[in-house]
Amino acid sequence: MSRTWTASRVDRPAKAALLLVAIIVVLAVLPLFIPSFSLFLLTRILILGLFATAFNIVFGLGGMPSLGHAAFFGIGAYVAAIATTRTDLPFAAVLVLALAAGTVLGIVFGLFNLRARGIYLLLLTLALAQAVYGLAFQQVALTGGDNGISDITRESLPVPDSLPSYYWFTMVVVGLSVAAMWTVLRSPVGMAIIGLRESESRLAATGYRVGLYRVIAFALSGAFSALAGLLDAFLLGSVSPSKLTFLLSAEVMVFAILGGAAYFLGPFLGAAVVLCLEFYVSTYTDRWTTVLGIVYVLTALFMRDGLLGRLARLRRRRGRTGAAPPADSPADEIDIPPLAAVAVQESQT
Amino acid sequence: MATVSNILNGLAFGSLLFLVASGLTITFGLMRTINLAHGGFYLVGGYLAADLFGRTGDYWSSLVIAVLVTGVLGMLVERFLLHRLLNLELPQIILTVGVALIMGDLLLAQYGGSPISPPAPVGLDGALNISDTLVFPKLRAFLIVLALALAALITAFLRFSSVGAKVRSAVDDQEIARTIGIRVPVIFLLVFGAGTALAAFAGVWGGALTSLSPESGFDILLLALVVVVVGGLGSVPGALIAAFAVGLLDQFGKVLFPEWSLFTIYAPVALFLAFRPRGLLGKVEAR
Amino acid sequence: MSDMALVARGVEARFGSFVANQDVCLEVPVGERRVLIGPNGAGKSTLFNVLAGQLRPSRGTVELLGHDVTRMPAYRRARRGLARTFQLNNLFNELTVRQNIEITLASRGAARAVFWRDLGSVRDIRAGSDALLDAWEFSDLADLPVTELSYGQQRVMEIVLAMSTQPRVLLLDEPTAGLAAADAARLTRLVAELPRDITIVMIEHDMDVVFALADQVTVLHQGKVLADDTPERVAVDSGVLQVYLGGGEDA
Repeated sequence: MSRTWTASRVDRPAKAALLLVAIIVVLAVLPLFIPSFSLFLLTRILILGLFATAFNIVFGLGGMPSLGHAAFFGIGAYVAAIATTRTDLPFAAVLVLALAAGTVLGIVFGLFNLRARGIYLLLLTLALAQAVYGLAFQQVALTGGDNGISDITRESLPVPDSLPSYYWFTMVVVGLSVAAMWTVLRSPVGMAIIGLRESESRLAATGYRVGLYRVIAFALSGAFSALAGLLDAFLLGSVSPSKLTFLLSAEVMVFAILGGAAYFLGPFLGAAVVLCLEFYVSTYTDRWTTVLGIVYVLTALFMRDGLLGRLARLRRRRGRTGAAPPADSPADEIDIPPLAAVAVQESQT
Repeated sequence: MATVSNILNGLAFGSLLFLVASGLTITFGLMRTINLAHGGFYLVGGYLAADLFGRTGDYWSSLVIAVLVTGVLGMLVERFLLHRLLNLELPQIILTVGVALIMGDLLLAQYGGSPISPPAPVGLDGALNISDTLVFPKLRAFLIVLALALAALITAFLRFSSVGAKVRSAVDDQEIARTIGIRVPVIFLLVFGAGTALAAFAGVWGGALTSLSPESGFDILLLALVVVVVGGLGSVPGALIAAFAVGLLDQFGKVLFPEWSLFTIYAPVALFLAFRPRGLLGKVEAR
Repeated sequence: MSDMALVARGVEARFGSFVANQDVCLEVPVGERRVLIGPNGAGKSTLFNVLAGQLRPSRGTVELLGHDVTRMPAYRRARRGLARTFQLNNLFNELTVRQNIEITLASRGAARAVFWRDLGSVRDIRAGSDALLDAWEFSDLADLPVTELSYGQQRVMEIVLAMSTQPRVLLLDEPTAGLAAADAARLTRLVAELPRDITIVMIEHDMDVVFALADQVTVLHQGKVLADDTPERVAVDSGVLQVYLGGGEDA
């Protein structure tokens, strides 16, 4: 985190800004050059990148490992689907509903997890997500059950109904969302969330109400994850319980770790890498799931500090400039303190 | 009478859950290793047994071979992959999910996606006539007995043998354990192998009860995980109680609130864990 | 009673069957420099956690500046003018020195609810951190992550952060722990020069520091208060001497 936060070289902010502008320009003109299946992939990368970045608010930045984030993605997708196909609500209202659903669910998760740390937090978020999954799966009248809802159209959207238009729309929404999350993370509230990861006891001793910021982190993360789910629903034109499974929760965690959970844009990179890999590998074999499993194994064994973490270490070795990268990756730190029940107030010897 | 039937069915499912959870409890409780590939080993055991039975027609040898082979597979995973991640719980989760994905996909490639059913042993097909109105499948009744027996066996073994203490000390401090003569790599191999063998064992019986398909691995895993945590990490009696509780919740949920049944399992569990993270009989451990 | 900064009455703290503090009574007047001493395991850190709010006592009360705070969690005591340091360095490690200070400054008032502006740009937080960095001579370390500071510098950071909130009561948990003699002396001087309107309660093992700083010394032994007097009188108290020098009692 210190790398993205500190400007230890004066030219760094300018360089970063220039890079960002370049990327945006390239992304914006791409639809004119690439075939539609590639455009589809790119749109998915944007959506899942948003999801992974939102997830990381709780995981890499807040230090709270969650295996239940598919619930937020899914609730956004389902709210969007149900609202669009069953009601005449304008798109703006659907958007607000999805965000609200994600926020409320985030608050619920945060409240349930107030006393949970480490492995217990992981399993509690898992149980909560499975409960939400159960609702989607079994409330057939509302959600279409196993088949889901598949008649979602983009009529209500403020853009023409074509893939390039939806791509640009997604670009704008994702861009604004990422910018919003970045802004919050640099603010006092965001820094307090990072403080949760660094030292809860210090945060409390300083005068911050730790439980409140945990809930805020989940609420924020939930809202933007739900937004990603909404975008996904409109991209595919359908939703199903597969958007709520444990495997999706695990996958978004791998995105974050693979890209570098200590860095704000690490998860986005991780999502891009995995999705591109999937796209490429699937043209050669049906066994993409096996390859994905191998990616998980390799990430767990060798890439715990993520691609960005590796990059930082390389640059440090070569140039000896800039601030040192974070000492441990969250994938190691977040490790779960010993299997002790956690007292509401920590006691030190 | 319907209630008694439901209770028995709930207990039977709970017994299956305990069979699955027992292996998890061992690896988790003793080695503090999180193995989310457990569901995958469950599937491998079931599929292997079904395959072998199809070829040989002999139930018991199919069962034994399937269990042993899966146990060896588990040992390989431990030795070459998991061993490097000792005490790193989050990477363990990622790695074992990956292993599960690989196993599930390879099973899919080999056997296709349609559900299969490993056989029930001869003698356990058919039903018991418990009373004039109540008939209960023999297989399910046997499962309940099996679960109770297994729970007693494992608990006794852990309490009265030195294995439990040896493993715990090896996890806490490998160096010191080695110096007092505990063969650390061997112990980990055996414990993990035992855990996966139990998973395979559960897979053969569970498959006979509910049938298997490559996607069903995670469903059963997540329930078993919940059982382990609700029971209290590392507590075998706790897992048994929790397993029966979840089995009953599942059964009555399906009967009374069919549109809410998964929710009726996981929502109470989540509430319970929110207020009592260490589960029913879990110990508060300090490192 | 309102001229008492910190009061503990009949405090008992237990962990299961283990009683770490038993019937502890403490009255620290405003402006005093109080030092808690005692062998290891005497219950000093536990008492600190009770005073600071990390631990709720099973019996007894705690008063901060005249208010009963026994049930008040740590963060609210901090907002009422209490600040503490930790025995083991407990800083926001991956963040820079400046960020550590600014987060601490932002904990006051409306700033901690701001989510739309950079931390430094809120009100006068940047100016505040500049001033603090300057006053404590950390300006050239401002943008280094705290993990890159030396151990001694981190010890001082603990005090810097505690002082950033302009506390009225300061709890220092073994501030010189692990420091070499020169650094310990420097830190002791730093503490001695803190304004006299701040009440300081300190845990210390180093007797030089105790005699340099303390107005009053409280001795804890096996969870109970053994003596509570001026440093000179405590130094010759037979009970205290027995605990430290004589008897084969284990702490």
